Amino acid sequence: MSVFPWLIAAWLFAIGVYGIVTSRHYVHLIGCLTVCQSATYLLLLSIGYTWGTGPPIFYDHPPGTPAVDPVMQALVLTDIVVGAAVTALLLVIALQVHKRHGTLDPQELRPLRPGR
Amino acid sequence: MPMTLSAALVPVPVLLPLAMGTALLALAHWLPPRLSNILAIATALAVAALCAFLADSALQSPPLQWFGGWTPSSSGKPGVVLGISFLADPASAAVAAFSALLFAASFFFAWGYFDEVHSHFQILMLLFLAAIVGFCLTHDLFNLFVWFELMSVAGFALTAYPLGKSSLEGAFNFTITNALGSFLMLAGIGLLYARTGTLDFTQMGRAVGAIGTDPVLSAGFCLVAVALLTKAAIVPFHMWLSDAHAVAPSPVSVIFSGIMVSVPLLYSARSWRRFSSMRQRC
Repeated sequence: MSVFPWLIAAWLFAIGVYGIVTSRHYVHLIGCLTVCQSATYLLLLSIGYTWGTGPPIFYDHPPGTPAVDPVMQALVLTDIVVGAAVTALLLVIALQVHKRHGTLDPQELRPLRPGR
Repeated sequence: MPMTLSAALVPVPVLLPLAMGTALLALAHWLPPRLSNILAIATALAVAALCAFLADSALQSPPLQWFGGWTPSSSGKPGVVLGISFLADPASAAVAAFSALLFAASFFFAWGYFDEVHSHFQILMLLFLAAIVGFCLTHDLFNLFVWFELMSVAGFALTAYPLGKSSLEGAFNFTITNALGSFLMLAGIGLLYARTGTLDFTQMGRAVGAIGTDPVLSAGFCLVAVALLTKAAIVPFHMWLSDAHAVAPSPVSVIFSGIMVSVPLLYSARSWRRFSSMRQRC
């Protein structure tokens, strides 16, 4: 297995975290979180991948044909579903925050800040 | 092989709150809120009793359930485990029983706590309970991740539940930090699978013992440990704790402090034991 997918996964995670740390808008921040998550998709798919093999579907070729690892693909699929749930929840929270404060800038919004 | 009663009962403490939560959600508009609270208390107590029974029978032999009949022997190859199993060992079943008791107490406390009563609080709490019990009983690393995420999502929603100003912001910080932690956990699971070729705990422990010292295994273990310690709010991963705890409604805070931060600690202690076979070979 080549080392490139690992490097790209690390890079994606790093730029995602950079985006989260420097973000000035909650929706942008949620987008950065999904960038971080796509790093895990890439890592898992590259772990399960073998060069020159087909998809793990055996209905038109005999069992035992080399195929990529279906366990990793099932993991990625579950991860995508979980990620969609978390993103939807975050967007709803962001919507409610905007309704109550009229802003989505993390600098303006600090829980536990006195004097509000 | 005939299945014993306790082995057949292993998935029930997870299915029961899930089924009750779904039923309450479907009937939310018709049921009086008091009745849904009573049903939630009864469910939590039933889960506690079931888990206590499982813990008791685990003292003789831990009940094990392979879902869909995918036992290790059904793969046809020695050392290949395709199925997902639940194992109730005495410690995990006892922790699950304790958490269900705490949930019942929290439901009882929530009786007069909220000004506006909706069944959504009970539904989210039942989902939370199912996730914690599943987290305790599962014997498969990826299944552990799924329960971990379900626990997180229920926790995020419950923190934001009052929809007040500060609770929304606290829930936001809580969600971002814990979501990052769970991505790291998933990456760690991927690395562990890449080396051991299995997700089953027993099989993985065996494979780790056979492989010995390996940088990929160590990295995978570290990533999983970071996620568990983030959830457990151990320094230096504790940043989210003050935001979430201070703003979460009190009946939810009970669960956060009592169970949600300590169950991952239990698991990191166990995975440490599993990986210590690797350490001894260094």
